[in-house]
Amino acid sequence: MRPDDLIDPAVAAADAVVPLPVDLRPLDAELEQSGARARLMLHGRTQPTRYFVIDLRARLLSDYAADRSAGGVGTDVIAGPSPVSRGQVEVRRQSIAPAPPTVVAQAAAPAGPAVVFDVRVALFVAAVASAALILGAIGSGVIPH
Amino acid sequence: MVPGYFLRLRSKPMAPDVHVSHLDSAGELDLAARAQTDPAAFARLFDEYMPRVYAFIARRVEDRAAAEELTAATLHRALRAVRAGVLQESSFGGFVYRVAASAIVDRVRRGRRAIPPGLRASDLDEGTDREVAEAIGAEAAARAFAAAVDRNVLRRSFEAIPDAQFRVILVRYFDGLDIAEASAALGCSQRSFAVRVNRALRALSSALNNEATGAA
Repeated sequence: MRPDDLIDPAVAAADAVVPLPVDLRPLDAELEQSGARARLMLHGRTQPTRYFVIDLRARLLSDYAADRSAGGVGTDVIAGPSPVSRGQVEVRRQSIAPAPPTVVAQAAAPAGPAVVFDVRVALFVAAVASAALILGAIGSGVIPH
Repeated sequence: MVPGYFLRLRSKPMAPDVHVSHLDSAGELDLAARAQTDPAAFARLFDEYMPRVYAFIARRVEDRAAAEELTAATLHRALRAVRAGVLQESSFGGFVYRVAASAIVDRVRRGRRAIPPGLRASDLDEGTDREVAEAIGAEAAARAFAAAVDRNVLRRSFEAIPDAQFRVILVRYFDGLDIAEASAALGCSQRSFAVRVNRALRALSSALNNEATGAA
């Protein structure tokens, strides 16, 4: 949030009555009309797409739902001063007693070679084997030539 | 001077316009306050302002994706402000137009030089960088507004007045914002905005007279 984004209420509420000299009135009216015409000319280009509107709306409103699911109320939480003084939370090195090594490798059975079964390869192998059997049978005379 | 004819006394633009707010200021303040915890209140503000803010940006940023990105960033900041409760006494509409106007200028700044992450683009401004960025950011709007002006002499007069005054003319007449939103977009008080419009019109009128004298 930038400080200059906030509008000072006292300044914003300042009286805006400024008389317009009569000789500027035609120019004021002409510019009014030109502006209205320009906005109409650009109307299609300056309309957001429906998808963008719906998507952005949902994203922004999900901010509330996220707070509810987190159990918060949606306002920023600023940590106050800690009741524990800095001296009390010093980290001290502790001695670590050496422990006997633990064998964990026996827990898992050694894995064998992985065979990936592929239906297409199996069909191809079956077809080749069948062809070899038939050719072998013809060659050996089991099947008359 | 005609009694009763005042600059921007009305809260709505004269010309029929689809970009007119339907919320009064009290209703808007109430919605902004409730929106801190009530998603329905924020949804109402979103429905009211999102198309108008998008249009404001799209008149200046011709690339649709970039306009969507800036609109989303603007409304994200508005949501954060509402939820943090910092808009209790301020106009939601004024806030979003102010953020949108800044976002457009920042985009120009980032297009002109590399801004390291974590830095505000305006932090690296030097000399007239801000004025130049504001002028570039208003170029597309200036072209579109000039195209809708009937008189050639008036169109030429636009170029004879200072950029800052022409931007006041753009926000006032081209965008058709009400005074609270327009003054917020330019970062000044409502009275200051009305005075600036008055001065810009005077300068434009002088430029018109000069054009007419030169033509004669």
